[in-house]
Amino acid sequence: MDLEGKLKNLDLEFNRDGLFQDGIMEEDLVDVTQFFDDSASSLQTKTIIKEPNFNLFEGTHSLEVENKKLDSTSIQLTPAEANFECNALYGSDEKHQLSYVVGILDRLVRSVVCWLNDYQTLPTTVLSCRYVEHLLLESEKKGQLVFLHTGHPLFDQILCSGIYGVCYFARFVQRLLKAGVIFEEEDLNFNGMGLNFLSYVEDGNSILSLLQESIRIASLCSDSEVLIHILKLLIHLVSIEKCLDEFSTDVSHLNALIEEATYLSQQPQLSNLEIPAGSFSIGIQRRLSNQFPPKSLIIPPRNYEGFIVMAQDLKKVLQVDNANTMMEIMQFANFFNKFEQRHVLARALFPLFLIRDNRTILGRYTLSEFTHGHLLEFSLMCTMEVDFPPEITEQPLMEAANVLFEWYQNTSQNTSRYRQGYNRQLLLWDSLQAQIEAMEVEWLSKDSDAAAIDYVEMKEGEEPTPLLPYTSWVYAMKVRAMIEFILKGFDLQVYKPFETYTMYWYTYYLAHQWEICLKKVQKFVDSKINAIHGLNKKVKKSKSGEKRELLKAQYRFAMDNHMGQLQVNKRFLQYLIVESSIFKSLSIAQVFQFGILTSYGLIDNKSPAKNNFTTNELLYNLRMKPFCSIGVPELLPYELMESTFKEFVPDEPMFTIKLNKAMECLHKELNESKLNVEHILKCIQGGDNNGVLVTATRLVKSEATKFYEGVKTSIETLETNSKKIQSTLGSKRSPSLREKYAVQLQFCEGGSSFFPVLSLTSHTSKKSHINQK
Amino acid sequence: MIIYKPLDLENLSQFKQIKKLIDADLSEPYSIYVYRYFLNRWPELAYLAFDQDGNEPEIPIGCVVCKSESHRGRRMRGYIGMLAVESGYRGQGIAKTLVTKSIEKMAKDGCDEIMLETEVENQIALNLYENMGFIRMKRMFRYYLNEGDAYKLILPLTEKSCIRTTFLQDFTFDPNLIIN
Repeated sequence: MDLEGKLKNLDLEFNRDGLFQDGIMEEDLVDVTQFFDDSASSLQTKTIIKEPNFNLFEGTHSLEVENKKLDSTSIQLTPAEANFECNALYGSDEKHQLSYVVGILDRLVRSVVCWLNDYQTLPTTVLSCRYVEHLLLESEKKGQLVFLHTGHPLFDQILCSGIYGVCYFARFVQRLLKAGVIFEEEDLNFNGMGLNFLSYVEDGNSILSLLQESIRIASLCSDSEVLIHILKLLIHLVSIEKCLDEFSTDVSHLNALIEEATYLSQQPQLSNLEIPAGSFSIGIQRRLSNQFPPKSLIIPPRNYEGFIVMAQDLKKVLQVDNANTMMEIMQFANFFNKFEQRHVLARALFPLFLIRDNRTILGRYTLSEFTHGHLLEFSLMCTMEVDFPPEITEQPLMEAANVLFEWYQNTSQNTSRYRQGYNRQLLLWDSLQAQIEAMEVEWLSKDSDAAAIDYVEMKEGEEPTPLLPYTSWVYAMKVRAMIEFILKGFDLQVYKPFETYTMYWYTYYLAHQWEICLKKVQKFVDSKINAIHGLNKKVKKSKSGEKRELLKAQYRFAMDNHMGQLQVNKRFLQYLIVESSIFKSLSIAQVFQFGILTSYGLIDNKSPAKNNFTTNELLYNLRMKPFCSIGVPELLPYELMESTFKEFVPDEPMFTIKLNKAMECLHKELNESKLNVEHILKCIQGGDNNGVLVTATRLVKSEATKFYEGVKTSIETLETNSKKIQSTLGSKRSPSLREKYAVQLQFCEGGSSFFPVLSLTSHTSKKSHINQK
Repeated sequence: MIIYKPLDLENLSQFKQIKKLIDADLSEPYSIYVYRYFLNRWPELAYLAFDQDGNEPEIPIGCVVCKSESHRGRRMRGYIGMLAVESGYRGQGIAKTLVTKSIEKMAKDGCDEIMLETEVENQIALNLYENMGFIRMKRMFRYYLNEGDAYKLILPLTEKSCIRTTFLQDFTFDPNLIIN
């Protein structure tokens, strides 16, 4: 059969225009049927024909023709949906037409909230609006905005401008996504169905003008108040891009957005508005190129409040601009997304607003200044190395900047990525520490004057240790990251109850290492403060006029230029030391509680697995895998974990005495940690001029307060829980207890998710007084 | 009595039944390619359960589908891709036996670890795997199409599983294992 005949058989004749375009002549085509048949007949059942790089990932994202779950062409539309005509005028009279337009815009705007706040897909929300699809397609064809032709300005002007407002805002969202700071699918879906989101529109001004004009027209209609508010809300949405375009910290648009959203959320009539049949559907998934499995339409609930959340979170991000010190920037990043995950746009904006395309931080620090600033506010102040020439310090500072940026970017990630980010960072901090320590030792060894090295004498009579300010900072950052990585695992419910001992035992170890480093740096800072005070004493004692004047000048210089920063550093370090102490106390309290429960036979630090596939040592080593390559602090071996575990489990002889001692230790640690948390809370409330601690939380006061209040609640719950366990189990052990009770990790209401409670649950009731997260 | 057999790749009805069992339960819609990807390349790592006393003793009532390959060229990783048991047969330990058989096979083939992902909300699956020694390594935000989070679980079989890939030497096959 000739080729033409075969094509006819394949029912492709009507497609010839498409098949033979681009100047391909029919006679140039080769009939491959026989070749194909021959090749296919020699295939074995197990052969798969695929592109070499097509692996499982591509496979799980692949579609399948005629599989209803995977084939968008199998979507069934109602006649109204299939035949919806955008250029028709809907509504029998002016009132009805207005109601339709308000209904469409209301639903579309609420779809934006479903898309962004509820992580829904673009095609099932914003792009489910037939008008959006129509206008984007038609405008792209012309390379400019086109309008409907219903003959009525309500549709042709107002509805169109509203739709372009939403599309322009979507363009901004797309831009944030493309910046690569948040993850497609996971944080945000931008399945644009191949549509062009107004790339041909130069800036937002033309859209704003359209919306302004629509407000003018709408104001001529009666009963158009709600419509005007929706259009105003859109104006403020379109204006959000100024946060990124101009790094504007003017929040008037965000405040206005909150006002409009508040007004609209209080309009009950909006939820009852009718829309033209077929104007919202999943039809776009059938009509355009859908790379994903078909998904159902999202009917947005009444959710204007979502805009309030978004605007408030964006406002929060912009506040970082008010930071006066590196400590404040760092604490801002540390807390703003910690207790509750912020809106995806705020999380995307934060790293872009902070670290700008022009390679500045907040538009005012160069990369080296930024990193150097962090060091100065921690360990570098008044060291010999602070005066090292830039040609020596530039390279290590650049290295440090890269890791520091990684830390900053990670703080705005979603809750799961946040922990993974730390996992990755550990390698970076560790590698940086190795590099910087080697360089620092080399600098110091090259210096002929041995006195140029800063030493710290931790205890009188002990050999002083070199400060190594660069290394100390990197090390402190690394160990803090290790602690955060472990504790975040509790928040994400990564650990089973039997692992609780190991993870808190390790946290205690890390917090202890962190504390040692912090105390060393603080000791150095103290010595510098004392040295300045000492200068003053020398001035007073000095009799020689010339020498006296020289000392006086030195003292004045030090007081004017160093003392203030040294005092702040000392107090910030003190805050970190108190925090390390809280982590230590709470971790060891959990260890005591675990040991007590173990002594009753209710839990063990071994896996409940009953097979020979693995061992407890392998499980321990796997759990510690992120730390396996870290030189300092060294990885504690399994044997050590096992041997120390036994020391925390009260046993015979003198079980009751040992139990009481364990309880006593547990309560002592809890009391201490509570006092420390209250101390921090008081200092956060009082501000950093309290003379004791500098928490640098001025810009994130409520977030930091919430975090530490959560820790305090956890301490109180741990205390109550411990007493409950004691009263339930008594002081006598019995094998029957195991049949009655199990141990679960539970989160307490309002408590810190870093410190869940090891609570007893009855096998019979399975009820608990503590809410499961 | 329930008996267990590896997949017979030439038997199309087995393939169809596996697909039916999985499609009925999993939240993720898999294309035929995904099934073929696993089953054609690693038929020996797919085990099926049959009810010898049932009405259709030739039709599998449960299955586990796995793969095993080098992970970044540094360690051998077994992966449990799919597991399903027909609803009427649940609670009899069939899933556990299927998984055990597949792990035994992958361990014998030299895997250093077995990995899988499961929904955070799927307590039954979590209990099954965690009672076999798997531990949760990480949580993945909105991992599934149904918008649910997932846990990545790993069962370490050798020390290689406990070392970061970066610090492992390049993996080389035992020449005795290469047959072609």
